[in-house]
Amino acid sequence: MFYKLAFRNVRRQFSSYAIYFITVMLTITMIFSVNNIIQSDIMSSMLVNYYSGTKAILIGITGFLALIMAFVLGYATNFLLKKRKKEFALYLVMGMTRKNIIGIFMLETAITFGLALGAGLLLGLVFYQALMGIFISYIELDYTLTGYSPVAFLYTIVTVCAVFLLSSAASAGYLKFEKISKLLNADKIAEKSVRFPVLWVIIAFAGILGTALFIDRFLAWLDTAFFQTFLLGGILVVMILLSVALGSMGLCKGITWLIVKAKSGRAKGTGMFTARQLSGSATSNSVMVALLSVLMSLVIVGPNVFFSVSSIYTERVEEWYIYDIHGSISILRYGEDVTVDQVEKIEEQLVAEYTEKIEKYVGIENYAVFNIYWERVENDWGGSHNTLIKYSDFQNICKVLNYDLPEELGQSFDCRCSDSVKDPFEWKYGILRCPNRILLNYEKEFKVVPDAETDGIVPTYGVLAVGVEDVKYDVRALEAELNPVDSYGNKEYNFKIKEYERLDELGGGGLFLLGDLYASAVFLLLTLGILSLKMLSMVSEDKPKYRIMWKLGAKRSQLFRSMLVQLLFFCCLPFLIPVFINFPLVSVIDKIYSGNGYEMPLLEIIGQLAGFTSVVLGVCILYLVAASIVAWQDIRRSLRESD
Amino acid sequence: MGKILSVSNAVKIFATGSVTVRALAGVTFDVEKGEFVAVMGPSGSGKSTLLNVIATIEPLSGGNITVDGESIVKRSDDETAAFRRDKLGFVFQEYNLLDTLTVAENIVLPLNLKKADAGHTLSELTRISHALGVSDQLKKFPRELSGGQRQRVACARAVISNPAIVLADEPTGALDSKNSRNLMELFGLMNREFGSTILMVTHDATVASYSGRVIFLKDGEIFTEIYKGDRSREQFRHEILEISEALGGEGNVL
Ligand SMILES: Nc1ncnc2c1ncn2[C@@H]1O[C@H](COP(=O)(O)OP(=O)(O)OP(=O)(O)O)[C@@H](O)[C@H]1O
Ligand SMILES: [Mg+2]
Repeated sequence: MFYKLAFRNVRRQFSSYAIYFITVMLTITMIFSVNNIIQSDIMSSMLVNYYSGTKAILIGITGFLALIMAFVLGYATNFLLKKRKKEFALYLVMGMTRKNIIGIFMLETAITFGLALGAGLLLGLVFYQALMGIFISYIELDYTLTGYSPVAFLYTIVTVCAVFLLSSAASAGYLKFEKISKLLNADKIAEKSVRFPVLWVIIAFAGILGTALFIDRFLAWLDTAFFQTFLLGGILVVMILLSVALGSMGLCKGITWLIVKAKSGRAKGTGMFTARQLSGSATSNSVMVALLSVLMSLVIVGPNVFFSVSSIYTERVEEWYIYDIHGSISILRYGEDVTVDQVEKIEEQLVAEYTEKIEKYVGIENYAVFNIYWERVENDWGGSHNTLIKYSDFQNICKVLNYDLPEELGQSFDCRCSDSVKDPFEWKYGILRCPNRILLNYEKEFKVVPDAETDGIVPTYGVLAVGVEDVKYDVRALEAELNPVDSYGNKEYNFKIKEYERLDELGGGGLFLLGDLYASAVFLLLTLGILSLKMLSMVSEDKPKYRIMWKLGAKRSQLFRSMLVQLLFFCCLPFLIPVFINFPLVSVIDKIYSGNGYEMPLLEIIGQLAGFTSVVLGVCILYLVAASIVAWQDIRRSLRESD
Repeated sequence: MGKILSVSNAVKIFATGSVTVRALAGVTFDVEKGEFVAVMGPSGSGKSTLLNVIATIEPLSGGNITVDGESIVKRSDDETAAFRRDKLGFVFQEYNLLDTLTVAENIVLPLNLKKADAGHTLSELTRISHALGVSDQLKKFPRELSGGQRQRVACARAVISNPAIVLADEPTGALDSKNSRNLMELFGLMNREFGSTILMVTHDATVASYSGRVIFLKDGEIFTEIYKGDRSREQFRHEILEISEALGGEGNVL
């Protein structure tokens, strides 16, 4: 009999259960897909290559997700419970036991939860595929996904069910111990009027001012103290978030009070009704609105900052590695006793060996072998050295890099590397200014000397620099072959492959970007989920009021406007704050770029922000429209139904 | 005095699924301006339905109703809303006050909806709230009032916009006998002092005896109607009781 009742209830309370269902399903989708990602073999192979801390971060994310899930599920269950309190009280009055009603409620939620779990897992699989597809193509990896991880499956079910049981236990406890009279009058619980309204108005302004001030301080910190005191930056970020939260709360409580005050005695049409509706809902939900405002700010800020940082790093690879592939071919330690002949022989051997390895993967266009000679000089401070390179070696380097040597130089000249050199070479004041890293990182100033001058000197080290064809090849395999793992399990990092480093940056940055986008999506969904639960429950509680207004002669259009204002007001802070946060964010990102030596046109930054924000806002608006339609249908139905 | 309400051959049929109920089976009567009319009848006889179709809360299935000379059938949604706003006052069994609004805000709602100016609104509020004895309660919220006080606030709201007709569906339903009597004194006062035309549904012969005329419904039709005329209220009450008993109604509770 309870079975039947529970089933019927789910059917009858379809709209509330639909909200519950969708919220739970989406949360499970998120958790399951992220668990799949963490457990996937591509991730474990990447974890070896990249940051060892990444796994901890990802596990942190799942933990965080589980927390959010607990919050959402608790909230959703509470939403259902609130709608049903009176009904349960009536069951109790009619003689059902508490056990009975707890059973009914549990069964109802369990049915819905079970369905949501199934749907969420299914959707999670699809979402995981899509997410990994994007990720894999982003890091330019050829990889076919191998199914799904049973560990992720198990892990998801265990966490999700644990959270469900917990939230069920909480509501069961509530139903077990709450007084019947409280349950009966649940819908009559008075809305509190604002206490200390003036204080809240002040807090609102203080919050707005504080946000502006701390953002200003934060920008100043980015400019000056970035590398000195991370603590200060952290404190400033916390202060900004706090100000946003307090400002939102103040606005909720203070401004609606002001509206009511302004309307008082002068209201026309449905104005007073609307104002009171606003003040009621805004006051009792101010903390939540504040929380959602902060979450939405993070939704906007996080991915934008990560995207900027990660694009800087991938760009940088271009600068960091001037050769497609380069590596040391010296097996000698400095000062070891060998002859020039020996060195040449070994070098020849190594070059042959390495070029053969490279050719297995990609065609070599040209390569240069160059030897560096350190000439010791004694000066006032002790020992130091001049760096020398043979003219013919330098010519080879230019060939690989496709640089033209100025004719007038002769075979002996001084060189200096500089970041600011745009064209390959600048011949100025008797010094050849070269692009940075032309002799790799180590040598900033060197001398080119006629070949004969180094005759008979043992080079300090030799380098193989290779230019390869511009085609796609298995960079990761080549890297593994050139930098093998020795018998102790240590990897050599002799060879640097530019393409590999780029992918590496892309992969590392991509991982964080992905994580952050993911977190943003979760925050967004969470915000929208909570807003929908809140808005729809608010409207369904207010239905009788709309009906009274209708009976008194308020037009439908007036009522619709009233409802819309209420819904809009409710979402406007969580939706608008992420828009306004863009203004300081433009400066922050500009500073991130310029602080890393990048001149990013302001317009492009604004474009990036505007693009991202409009996507987020688009989702929000779509969502608001949907919620308004559902809510209005709900009200309309109640207008049509007769006494 | 002119006709304010004219119901002619009003029919209301509810069709829920396969079952159809004739809640009103051709009801015809007029109400003059300034009249105080009670509607009685057994449960299910169509009293509430009658009030609801007059109030345009339910559409009419047949017949016609005119209020203040204008027909209310076949009007658009906005027109019926405007009609309710401009011509009607409501008092319901359950007070139907908005718990988020203060007493004063509740009372002036109809004037707000009419977009009356602030000065007029305030003076009307003062006048009506004094007359109905709720002037001390204006700043409170409905939940801080007793049932009788709430019903008085509902009455104040019903008459403040000076409607053509006040409709009341069992306004004493939730009140004890003392408060019922007070409310009826109030209706009498509204009727005499403000010249309000009142159409009230009740089960209670004593309550009905405050009116000037009682219409009896049975199975969706007018069974009979009686006028008070020059009789005392007690005499009137007796006749009402007799007819109620004949109809099988519950009769007197006071
Ligand atoms: N919305 C509706 N849908 C279907 N039938 C209805 C509806 N409203 C009323 N009825 C039916 O119409 C008839 C008259 O109902 P009405 O509410 O007018 O009675 P009443 O005289 O007010 O009774 P009571 O004294 O119990 O309030 C009843 O048979 C009732 O079942
Ligand atoms: Mg009735």
